[in-house]
Amino acid sequence: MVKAEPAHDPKIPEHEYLEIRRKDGFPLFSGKNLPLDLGAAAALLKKFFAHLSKTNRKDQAGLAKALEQSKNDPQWIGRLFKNILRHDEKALEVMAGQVSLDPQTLLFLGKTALRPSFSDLRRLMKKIIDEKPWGLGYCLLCGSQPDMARFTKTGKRSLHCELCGQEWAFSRIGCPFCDNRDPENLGYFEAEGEEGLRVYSCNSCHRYLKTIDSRVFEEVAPLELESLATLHLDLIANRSGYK
Amino acid sequence: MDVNRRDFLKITGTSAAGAAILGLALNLNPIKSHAQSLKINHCKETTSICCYCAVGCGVICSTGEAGAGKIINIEGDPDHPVNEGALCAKGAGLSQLANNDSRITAPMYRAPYSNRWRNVSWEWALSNIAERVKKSRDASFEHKNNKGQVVNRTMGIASVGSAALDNEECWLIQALMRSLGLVYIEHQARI
Repeated sequence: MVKAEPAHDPKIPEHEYLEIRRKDGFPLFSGKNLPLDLGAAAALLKKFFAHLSKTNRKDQAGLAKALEQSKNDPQWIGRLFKNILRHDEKALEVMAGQVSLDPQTLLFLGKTALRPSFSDLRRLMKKIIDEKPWGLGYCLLCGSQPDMARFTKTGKRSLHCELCGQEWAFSRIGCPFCDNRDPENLGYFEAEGEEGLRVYSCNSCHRYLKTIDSRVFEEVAPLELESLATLHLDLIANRSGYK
Repeated sequence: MDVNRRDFLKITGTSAAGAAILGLALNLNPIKSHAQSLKINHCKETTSICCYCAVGCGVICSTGEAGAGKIINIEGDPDHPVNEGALCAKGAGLSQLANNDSRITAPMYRAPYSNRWRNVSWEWALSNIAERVKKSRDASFEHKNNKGQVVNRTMGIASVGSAALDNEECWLIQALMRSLGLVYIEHQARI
């Protein structure tokens, strides 16, 4: 299996500066200044392209094209990462078009390639992250939104960042996307026979968040994987008008 | 073929790397058919306070949209500063307070020497209580004690409070009982 070796010393701003950002409700880093090892992430992404373009897939040609593009244009992957970190969907679509790939595939691979660097950054920032609870609807580390949540063994809700994989505690009643706290405008649904897998929805901003209850499931897989394993709930949420 | 969570995790070998590879090549059709076949229950969560004792634990009530707000589940509120999600055995069974065929919904009366209870109206119950309190109080009222000191008290009635009473309710009870001349005033939390 391919492995990244992030071996650099990222430039971390002073603790005091980060403290002020945190106090004012700003994430520690914005998409522009995330101190990630992009070199290691780029090497990993190239390995993904190389490996997947040899497998029997419909988008095999696109993946080979992406590999070619990243070899010909050394800045291409850098630009891709920049667009992913800034959540620039339009720019991402253009880049995916260049190599005839589905933008979602490119985004998924790019995010996955960034993960080892993010976990490195999380380790470096552990002290400030653990200092006190964050409690806001976006990620303390990178400011992105949650893609999934879990209930811990004590019933607390923990949100999972869609970009960096950081988890943080958030109140049980409330929408992390629009901060709606009115229980009349919030709700959840679960499928019969699938107790412990809930989809929380907000009738104010019409967003939803899948949640897995670790009091029900003995073992919870990494939430990236749980998210894929519960795709049917996304379909049901979309059908009900949530996005 | 239906694909549920357990099957999926088995296929991918519960590894994030497996997800990266398999997730991309996923065929949505079996997932769509699985989603179609499921029966969905919509619910709402509301916070409340346990009614049993003065600790005042926070709870989250899940009520179903179907069945006119029927309580499905009650659990400790993990964000509540008093109990942080924990509940005692009695509090954990709180939903039985609402979903209970044996729940008493009207005042009941057992006459002296009788062995059965009967339902009575609130009007009957309250006026009977008032009459009996007045009767006992008048019969047992002491203006002076044995030493001739003015006491204006009754030793014939006692008041037993409840742990579910809050500060303001306790104040009202104190005011009423003292005005009647009671000295035996107890709170359940001390018993």
